[in-house]
Amino acid sequence: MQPELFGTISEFPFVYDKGFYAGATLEQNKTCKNCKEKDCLTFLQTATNKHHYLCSYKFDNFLLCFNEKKFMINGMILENNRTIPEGRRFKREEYLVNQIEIEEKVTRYAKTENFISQQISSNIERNFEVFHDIKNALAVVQKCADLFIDKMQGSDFQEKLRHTPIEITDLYDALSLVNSQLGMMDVLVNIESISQGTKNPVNIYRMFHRLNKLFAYKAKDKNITIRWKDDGQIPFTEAYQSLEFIPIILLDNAIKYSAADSTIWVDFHKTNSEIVVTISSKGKTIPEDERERIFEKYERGNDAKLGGDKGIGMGLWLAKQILLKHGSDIFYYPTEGGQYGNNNFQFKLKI
Amino acid sequence: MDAILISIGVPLIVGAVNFTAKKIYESITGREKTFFWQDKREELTAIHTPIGFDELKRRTRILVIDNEKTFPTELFTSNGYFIEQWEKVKDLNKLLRGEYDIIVLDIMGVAKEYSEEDGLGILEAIKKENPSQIIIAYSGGSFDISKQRFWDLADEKIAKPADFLKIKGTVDNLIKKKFTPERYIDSLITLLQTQNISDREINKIKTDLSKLLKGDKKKDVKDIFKSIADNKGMFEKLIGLTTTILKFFQ
Repeated sequence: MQPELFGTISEFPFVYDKGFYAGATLEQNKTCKNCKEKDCLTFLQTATNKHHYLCSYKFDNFLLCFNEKKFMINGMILENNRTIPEGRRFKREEYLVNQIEIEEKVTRYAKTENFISQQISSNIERNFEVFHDIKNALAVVQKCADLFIDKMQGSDFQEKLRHTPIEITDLYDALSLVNSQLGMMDVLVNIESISQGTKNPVNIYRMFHRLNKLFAYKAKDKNITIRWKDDGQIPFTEAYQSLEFIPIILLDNAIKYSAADSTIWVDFHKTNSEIVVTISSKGKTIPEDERERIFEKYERGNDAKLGGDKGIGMGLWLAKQILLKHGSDIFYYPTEGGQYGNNNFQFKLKI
Repeated sequence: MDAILISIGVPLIVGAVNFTAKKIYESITGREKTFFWQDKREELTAIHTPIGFDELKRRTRILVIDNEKTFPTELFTSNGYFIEQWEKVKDLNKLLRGEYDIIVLDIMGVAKEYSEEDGLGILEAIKKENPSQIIIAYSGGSFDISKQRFWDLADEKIAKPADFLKIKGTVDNLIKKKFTPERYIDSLITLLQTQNISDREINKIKTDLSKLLKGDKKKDVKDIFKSIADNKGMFEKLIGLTTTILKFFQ
């Protein structure tokens, strides 16, 4: 839920991320507006399971979690709050609330949020039904392509693929990319589909490298070169099918936000127990206060928004979700300092 | 006289020691272990299957149920797999009896006559009747949250569209991981246990099966279960599972 939407549902003022928002009926408390400590923002960053927080001005704050987003109703005074000075209590009496009232309202907000989420999912599902037909049509095209390659010389399909003219294999690979991208849409709608099926041995190096030629076409517009670094044989790792979306997301992202005439490095190295993959590209680095948020759903860095780049802010969120399901995570770190430098995205996979 | 005493005493002492050791091991680890003789299940699964993967894939009966005919069945056939295709569920009994080792099942437009829930209903029915049946969910609708059970119940997933090598990789992995004699031996034992067959009877069946797997020509599959299968359905299930197990050894 976006804070603007929550502001229409919640009567009370609240904080979200680093901003203060008015509620539908109550403005932000003036003491909160002028507060220097801003404990509520710290609570929001560090909050875990606790629902109630008392700030240094002795106002009551209540944490709400909707899916992965955290909101905090701030600057309220519980009727049984005896720690707040009487003068402040009197001056801010419109912020007085009793425990039962706040609990009932929080429950109602959760129900409303749940209903909105369900409606969104069901609308998306309805709209996505059309993709079912597209997928079936594409499956027929894929089958025709497979049968065509099967007519080539060779003892098995892989050898036949090697004997296929390069233009046809490029087309074949492009078709596989379209298949994967369609699959990625499924995951966007139904996050559970990340871990559907069983884990099978996959080679992350090959997964990336398979896309080399296709992304090289895309990179050509900005005169970007993609280079590969690896320290020998990259072993297989057990993964769900959804891992195949990681190279698509990260290479696409790197090309989108790279400076023209630059080089993207895709680096693989193996430790005793892990494969470490780092994608580095040159461009405007992400400001420190935006770094955590770029992995959130629908979030895009301010430069990406201002730059008018196409995107809905789902790629990095999806990459993170997929890696979390593999017991891993993804991290961003800039190198070479300043506003321009190397943007590095790194993840590890257990061998 | 000494010989008689030894022949009676030694097994008794060994039995008592084994019993005590077994109880101590069980109380510490929570698992069962027999110390002086091999467990019948271990004895069974220790018999090495003589066939390699190429032969195994020829023996694996694969059925594809897909009304869109998008599965590359022809390529599987030309690559040495035993594969059959139905546009929709033609014979539910065949599926419930476990006549196919792997079923590739689409979710839409394959079984409206049998179930309102189409492919999902069929999948649920098969898994209820025959939990060891290997099923691959093959669909273009993995976005559909309401059909999540379809993916959860299936052993593997192939999302449409997919290229031949990807599909083949998934099928091969499934054959290697799940189409194993150990899996069917365990299913057979579980089935016998759920029928309240005594441990003594189960051990006798394991011994007979072990002889059969080692190539004892005198043993017949049907004779093994004759004394315990009092209903036709159960008898057929037991024979079906044993026939599958034998496929790995003959």
